[in-house]
Amino acid sequence: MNGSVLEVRNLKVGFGRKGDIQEVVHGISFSVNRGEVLAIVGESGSGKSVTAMSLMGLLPRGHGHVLGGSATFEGKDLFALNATQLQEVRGRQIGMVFQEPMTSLNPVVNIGVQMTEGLVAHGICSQSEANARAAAMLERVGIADAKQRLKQYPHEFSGGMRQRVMVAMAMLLKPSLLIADEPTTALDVTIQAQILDLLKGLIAETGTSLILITHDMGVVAEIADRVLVMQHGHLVETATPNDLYNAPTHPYSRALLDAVPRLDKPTESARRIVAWAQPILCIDDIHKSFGGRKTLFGSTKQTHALNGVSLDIMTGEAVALVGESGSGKSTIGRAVARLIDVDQGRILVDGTDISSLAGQALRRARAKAQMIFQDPYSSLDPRFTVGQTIAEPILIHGKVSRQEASDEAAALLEKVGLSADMADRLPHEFSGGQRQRIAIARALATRPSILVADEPTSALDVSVQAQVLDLLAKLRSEDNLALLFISHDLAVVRQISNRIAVMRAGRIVEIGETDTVLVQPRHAYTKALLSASPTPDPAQRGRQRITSPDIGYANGPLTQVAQGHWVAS
Amino acid sequence: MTLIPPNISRRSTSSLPRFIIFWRQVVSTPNGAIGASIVLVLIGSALFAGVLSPYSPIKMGVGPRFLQPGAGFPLGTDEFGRDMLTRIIYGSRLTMTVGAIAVGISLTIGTIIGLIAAYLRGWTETILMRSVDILFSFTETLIALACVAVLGPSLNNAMIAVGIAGIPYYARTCYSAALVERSKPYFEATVSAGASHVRLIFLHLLPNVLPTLIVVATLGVSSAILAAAGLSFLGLGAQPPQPEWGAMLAGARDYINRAPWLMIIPGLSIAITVLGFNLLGDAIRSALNPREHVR
Repeated sequence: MNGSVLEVRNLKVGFGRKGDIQEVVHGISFSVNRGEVLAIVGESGSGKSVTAMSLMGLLPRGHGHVLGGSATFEGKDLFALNATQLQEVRGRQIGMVFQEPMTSLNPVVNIGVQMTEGLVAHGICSQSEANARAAAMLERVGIADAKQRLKQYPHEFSGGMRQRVMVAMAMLLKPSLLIADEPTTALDVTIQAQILDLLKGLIAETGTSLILITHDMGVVAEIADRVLVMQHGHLVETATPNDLYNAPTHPYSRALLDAVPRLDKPTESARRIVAWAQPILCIDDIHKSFGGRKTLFGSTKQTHALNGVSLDIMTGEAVALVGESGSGKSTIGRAVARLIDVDQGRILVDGTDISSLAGQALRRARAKAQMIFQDPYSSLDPRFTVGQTIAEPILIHGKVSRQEASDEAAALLEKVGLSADMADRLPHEFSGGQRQRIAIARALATRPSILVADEPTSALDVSVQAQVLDLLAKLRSEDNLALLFISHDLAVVRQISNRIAVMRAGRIVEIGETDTVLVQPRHAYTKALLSASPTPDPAQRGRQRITSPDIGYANGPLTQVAQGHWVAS
Repeated sequence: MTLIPPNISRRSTSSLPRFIIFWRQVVSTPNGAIGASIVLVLIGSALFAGVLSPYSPIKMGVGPRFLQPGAGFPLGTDEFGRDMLTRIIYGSRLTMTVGAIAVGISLTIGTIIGLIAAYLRGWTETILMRSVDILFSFTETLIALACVAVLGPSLNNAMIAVGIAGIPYYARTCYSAALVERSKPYFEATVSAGASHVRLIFLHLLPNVLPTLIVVATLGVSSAILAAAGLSFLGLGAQPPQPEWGAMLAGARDYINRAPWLMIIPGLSIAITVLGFNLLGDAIRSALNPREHVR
């Protein structure tokens, strides 16, 4: 191809010690054209990040090996370069942006020094000119007061701002290729939309090519010119977004797309009309603040996590709490499971005020509300077999023998779609999705009437996420369980919930039936959230998005605008 | 809904017990193998001192005085004509006992303090951990000296003194490890299941902080042995004619020109023992840390 920046031919990468190397990328070939956005998508373990790391020479030394193939970048074979030559290419000609904006900047060096380091080290210009260029670039990525900001340290920037700094830093050296590994995965949706717009703008201006590695099909649809789909270290499909989304040729691409929850198409699973009996959970005007503790040396700074939240959930109903990080949604979940104490207000679970109990009575009452956590890897005690983990709550609450408890645990394992003979295994032998199923089985073991699920699928691959959501829906209809589902992902929420409560800054700003809130949002913040959510449909790329938050949203008391639809005034 | 098969168990498990697999990992590095051999030889000589050694450790005049190492008496004899090899072998028994008991005391009490402070938080935590901080601000030797001053000089009291002096170190290590564990979701899930304090502390917290504590304790044996030998050298621990290595060093001071081996041999024994436990502790630490396997 004529204008290609990078040509990768038959790349093979393996991991392991010498003599015992397992190949994980099995000979993939692709090219990146000048000014093109190439997205590499796939689930964890597909080899997408490994491919990028091998191009940058960042494979763990002595453990990761390029086993074959070539990567020609601007006429040079990247794998034939020595360390000094590679350093010259890295940073100056190929820039990088990583997932974690929190850890990719050095916390003890100010932004200005970190940004200009590359310019000065590569001998491109003097320190004073470098400062000027850095300031200009910061302005370009949308950071005001750039001159002052250069003197600040990473902790003085928010996550989104740090990612802007990372982008500015990479673009400062005018690389001909930028590799971004999940650059927006750790960010809130409104911030994600801003960063994607920024990347798109910069690429159009400078003619830099971008390799974007992501698992998010919505992000791909927003920005990519061409998409590579990877599975188990193989390249299974290369297509333009339009072709891929409308007519995927490989069955894996199709499965991947089918599993993506859609915000713009209603799904059937949660649409079950239940004659609501009585509320199983009553949250009544709860307040919670962190900090403000008096110590020997004065009092610490106080932040209000919850500012008068009330919410009722009926038997068998699924209510979703959505909002961005820091909105207080997780705090509500933890308060319902009484993992934290609230400062004010009552939480009635099945008629019992769980926020005022203590000792034995509290331990008994806890059984009614059980929690499922985000991280499936630390949700299970690594030293307990999964059978012991699931049997534990049964032994605590019922007067049963060990044998009966482990029989019941085996039955629960089958109920969540695993097999009973897995009970003797330890957590590390299971995948993330399986561990999340085990965590669900443990939550069911106390026979709760409400499950609190705090981002239960956001650490999982999209196909596994679909399975776990299906499982939750099935359990809800079988056992008439109520569900408080906490998530930042509106598309997931649409699939599972009957009602949605949108939270912002410790308050509920809008609450109503799922379809009503998503189709006819009344509150400005809900509208912003909806417009910022990436849509897995390239046809919608040009749509108007509201991406500047904090414009003084209404957060007064809720008023009813329609039957069951309340909005902050 | 999906065509993708769920991921079945990622790693096949070996049929060997986990402990044996772990032990093989520890001795697979040269450092681990050397450390483990030294410690095993020491344990062997401590257990079978009576069988291994040709003479009694305190019987005088089994040979001539100040005999150089050579045939008959491989490590020579001391100023009373006692066999040095016998004394070193019996000394290993004392040394291992000191190490085990002193570390046992600090580990047990330190772990209890650390677990309670991390589990209960609040005032209990403040009082316990601030007390530990105060103890920490004195050097270990000073605390040990103070204990011996109160209890009186003897090897048993030296063990207790060294044990008490080590408590703050174990308490703090256990405390910080337990704080990390108690903030993990599995712990919160168990709280939420209604588990009792006893169950939470002994079935969930303790087993998960234990690996960290085992590393610290293995490394701690060597410093306990050094501290006890130091006390004995000062005449505050083992008393003559006990064949304790530190006390033997002290006794040999007067003959340093005439019979240097009397000083060199116990000194080397202490050094090799310390080295052995340090190497073993490091090897256990790397075997427990999965990230280091990558290297």
